[in-house]
Amino acid sequence: MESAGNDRRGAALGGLAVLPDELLCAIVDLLQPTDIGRLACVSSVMYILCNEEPLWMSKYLFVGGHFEYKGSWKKTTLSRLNLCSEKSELEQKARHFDGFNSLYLYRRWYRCFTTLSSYSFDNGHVERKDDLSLDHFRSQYDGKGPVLLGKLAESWPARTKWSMQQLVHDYGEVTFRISQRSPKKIIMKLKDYVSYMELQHDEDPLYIFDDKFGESAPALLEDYRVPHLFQEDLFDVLDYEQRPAFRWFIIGPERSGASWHVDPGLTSAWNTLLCGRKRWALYPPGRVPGGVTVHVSAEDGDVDIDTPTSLQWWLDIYPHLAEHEKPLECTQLPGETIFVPSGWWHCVLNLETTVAVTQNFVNQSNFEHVCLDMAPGHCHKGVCRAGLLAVPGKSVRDMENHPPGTITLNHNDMTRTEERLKGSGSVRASNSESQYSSFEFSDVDKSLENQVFSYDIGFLSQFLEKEKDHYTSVWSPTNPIGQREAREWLRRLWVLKPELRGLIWKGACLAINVDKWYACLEEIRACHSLPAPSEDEKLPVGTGLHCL
Amino acid sequence: MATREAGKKMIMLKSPDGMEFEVEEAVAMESQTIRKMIEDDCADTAILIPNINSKILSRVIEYCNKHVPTTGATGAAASDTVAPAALAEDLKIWDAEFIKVNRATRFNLIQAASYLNIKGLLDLTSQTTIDTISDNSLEEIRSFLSTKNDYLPEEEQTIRRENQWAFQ
Repeated sequence: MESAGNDRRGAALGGLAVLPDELLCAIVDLLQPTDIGRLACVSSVMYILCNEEPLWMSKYLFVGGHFEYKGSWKKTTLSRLNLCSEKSELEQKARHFDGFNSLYLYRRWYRCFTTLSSYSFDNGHVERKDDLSLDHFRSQYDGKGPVLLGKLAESWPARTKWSMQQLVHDYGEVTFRISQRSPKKIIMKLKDYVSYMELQHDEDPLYIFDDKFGESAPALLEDYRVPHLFQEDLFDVLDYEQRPAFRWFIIGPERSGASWHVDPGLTSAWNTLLCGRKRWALYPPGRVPGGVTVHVSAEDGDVDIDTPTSLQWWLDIYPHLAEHEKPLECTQLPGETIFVPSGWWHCVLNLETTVAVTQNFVNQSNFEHVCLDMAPGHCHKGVCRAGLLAVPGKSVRDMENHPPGTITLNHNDMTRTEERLKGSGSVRASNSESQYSSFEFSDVDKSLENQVFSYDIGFLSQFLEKEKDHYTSVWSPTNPIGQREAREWLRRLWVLKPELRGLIWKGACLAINVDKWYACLEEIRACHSLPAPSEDEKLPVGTGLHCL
Repeated sequence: MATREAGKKMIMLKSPDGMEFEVEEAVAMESQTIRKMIEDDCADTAILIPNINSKILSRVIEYCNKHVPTTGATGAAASDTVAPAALAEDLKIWDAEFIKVNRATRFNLIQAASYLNIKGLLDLTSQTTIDTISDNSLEEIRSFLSTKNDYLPEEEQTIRRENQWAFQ
């Protein structure tokens, strides 16, 4: 079978036969649609490569625009480009060529067509509660660990109104945003999205992840309430336009889901599921998941995560994890709310069509972490996410016995300097999926047990780069809010939340060195024998004029 | 790591046909694959590069030598005060010459660039291949790739009809 396969492959690909299928697909993906259509006429294997749905999905994402699914990505793209007006032209029989097989294409196809309805898993490691008192939540869970809450959404109108059927009825014509990373913006009406969802067999389906639903469909805001445990959000003092995105309306089919990440700016989050089931995996702060690489730019603190899709992670990496490397897991059921504390890694896989709402927030528990994460520099950002793996130079290597897979190193690039932080079991020297199964694990978990990594703010703030100042250093582009907004935020908190001034001062020291500026201010004041600032004016932020 | 301060640390690359190439570490690290090996301390003194013969490997090294950022280590060109735009233009011309190779070499270079994860070289070699596909007739493409038309005659007709949209 192998040799027959090679025969057709060799003849039909000619000189290109030396290249692996994955690379061939990547090269075909560089072609214009009409060139792909022509290449399909060259030979049988070219035909196969040129008719792959993931190829045409990628071509569509490149074009973008108003989305209307035509039953396949090829038809959708050709029709979008007006390359095919009549439907009949596009009809084509499924074609089979004997003597060609491809493990790469098969695995991809398998991911697209695998069914997840029986992929639910719950070992009870994420605690389930009906509800909690605020005190209980603060003392046991906030900033400590995730928890599933069964009865927070019981009285929400969304429990009945957010079925797919009802949503299409009520909001079919409304345009929602999708989350896919694509070169061009894609917009779609909910009714078009739903017909896409029913027909598609994509590995990484388009996923509605809309932070502006409060504007496009304000009535949705009436259907839920922020649960009593998560009422406090210190970003509330900012105007709506100034504050970072904080609430998302989420719809996604089976196989979709957010890949491994830590929530932006080290905020915490709650997520309530109205329809379907979501499988969750979580790791505590500082514990990079296997197969995931964190890049933190030394230049501007830009944080970038390299990760397989959620589905790919569960299919290709998760089965190879040893017991002690497994994440905390649960399957969230309709009506349940999950709380994800600041800094926790998480990854979600939708087991069927799901509808959910999620909000991120800053409260007293994570306020200092959020402030720390805004500070210029990159080392602390790395440590908050990747733990001691992110400590440069001396650290990890000297302290542990299993260096492979845990080294961090600065390197000079043409464009930027980055730190590459890898989790245990990260994929070695290859981005080919076929090799995910052959990676080695280093026992990072064990060796770090002796270390004193802690998500405690005192521990984390040691990694601030003291000489970096927010006035003279670059404000990271991945910070949830801009520099000016951050100063305005702290100023407003200072004035509007006098009861929290102790905490706000600490946060402002972390984010924008107010202690240093206050010292300057004191000096100038003493020098010119000016009156002391009133309590309300004490926080030296805003225009910066104080210090001039 | 001890490698940082030494600007000129050398690395030995070995091809499977037994040739050895001594290159500056910075040059070898143009390959992300080799970079990871070095960073993970999987590379002692010599790195065996499987699947890439000495002829191709020497071309790859030539490319990396030219493209390594000219921040001091690489000698002559670095000392001149060349404007970045002029430098980029110079590289482009150099690339165009570099890629004038026969078909087999080019495909082997794609393979090597992919395995060694050298983005610039992969882009360059892939793009040259793409250009031949875009600009030419089916027969020309077949002859360029030395691909056999393995369709049955009636099969070919149907497929041509199906893809008529691509020929208009």
